[in-house]
Amino acid sequence: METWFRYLFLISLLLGFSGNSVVFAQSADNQDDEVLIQPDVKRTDFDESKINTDDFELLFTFGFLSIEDFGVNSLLALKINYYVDENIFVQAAIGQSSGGETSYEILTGGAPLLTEDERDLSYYNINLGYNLLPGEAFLGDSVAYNTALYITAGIGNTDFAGDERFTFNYGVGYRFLLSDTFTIYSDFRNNVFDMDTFGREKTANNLEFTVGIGLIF
Amino acid sequence: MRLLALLVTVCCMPLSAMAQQIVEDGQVALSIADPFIDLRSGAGSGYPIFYVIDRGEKIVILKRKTEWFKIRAEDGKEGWASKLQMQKTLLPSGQNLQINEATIQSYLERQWEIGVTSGQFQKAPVISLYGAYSFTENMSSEVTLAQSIGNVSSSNLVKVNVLMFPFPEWQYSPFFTLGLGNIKVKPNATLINPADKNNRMSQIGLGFKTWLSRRFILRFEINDYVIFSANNDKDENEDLSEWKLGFAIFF
Repeated sequence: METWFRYLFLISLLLGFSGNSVVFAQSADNQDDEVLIQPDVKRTDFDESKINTDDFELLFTFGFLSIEDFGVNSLLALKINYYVDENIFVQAAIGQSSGGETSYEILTGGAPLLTEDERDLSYYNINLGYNLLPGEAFLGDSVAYNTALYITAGIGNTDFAGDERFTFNYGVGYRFLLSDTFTIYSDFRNNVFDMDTFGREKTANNLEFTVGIGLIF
Repeated sequence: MRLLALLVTVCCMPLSAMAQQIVEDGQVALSIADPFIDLRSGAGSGYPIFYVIDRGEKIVILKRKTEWFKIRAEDGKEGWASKLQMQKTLLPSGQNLQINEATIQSYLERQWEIGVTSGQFQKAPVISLYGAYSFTENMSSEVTLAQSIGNVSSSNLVKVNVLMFPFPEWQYSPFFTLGLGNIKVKPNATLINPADKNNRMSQIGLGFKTWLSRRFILRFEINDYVIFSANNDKDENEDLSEWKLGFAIFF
């Protein structure tokens, strides 16, 4: 009997896998109904707080902002998403751009309408987003990525031409999940605010297109 | 007999070794108690099911995203399972996995709260961000930053408040609030003689909060402000009103 066990034990040693030797002893145990090793079972408590929860996402985006009458200029925006559930997310964003010259300024070559400082544009907004069309995108026949087409709407403030302007925005975007941590974005929005820089108040539609990368944490 | 024992051990080895491999430090292997559990390719019910794990098999939780759990099966397959299915898996002790979500009790016992509200300040839209700390169920303190953007001027507000909740257990729990702060009014650039005005102010208000679900609170409030703008040129202080509706997350 003992040689029997020794034989098995040696084989398991030869296999050189310490994890396996336990398994081995157990299966031998079943065969002979004899306790070879006293099970040293440690109680493993489940601690929910140890689960890594990934509900936030930081986005670095850049693109273009068209400011009505002031041309199209580059835009940098930083956004943070909080996922409320699989479909709904809350987003806070800040962005920076600047306005160019109006056609009037270019054609007449006269006095500029705004100072350089006033041409700087900065905004912040708080938005609600909804993953309208979640799905998969296929690259070739073996690689699939998760994607989502989402819509957003929100309110915020735009500081441009020396004034603060209450702004609402709405848009649509596409999220491409490279992995559980990294995402790629393209996002299209309209920022709407009232402007009275030229004397008469009007509603300006300022289209924004950005692409970016996201970091889920 | 010897041959059989060898055969048994060799056959058992890969599976058992794998079962041990999936559990790393601090992880707990859960066993499936339902007939099966669905694995989806993404954290959402819109993503397709690509794999099914049978009853009795072991899994470990890798991460969580909203109501979805990324799990690994014994054969190394990784995918997303819903909270509903995860709650039916068994701990090594044989009990069902308990996933503790925020309840009405944790709402009542909340300490920190951060929220965003929006509404009207006089006739201008206002956006505000606040952080609150609860001393007891009945009393909390807040710091609020607000920006109101009007046609002729925009204002920035900073204020500190004390809130009293006489009936915290009500579904729509009312509150009374008193605050002090500072308001900076910036007339629009298109006006003839724009000059910023900085004034102290006090505020009195009432509103309600209600627990929506999980960590979310809905909040509504009506405030009355007195701006201490009286000076040599002007006899009276200004009186302004405001309403705001918003959401908050508590910790």
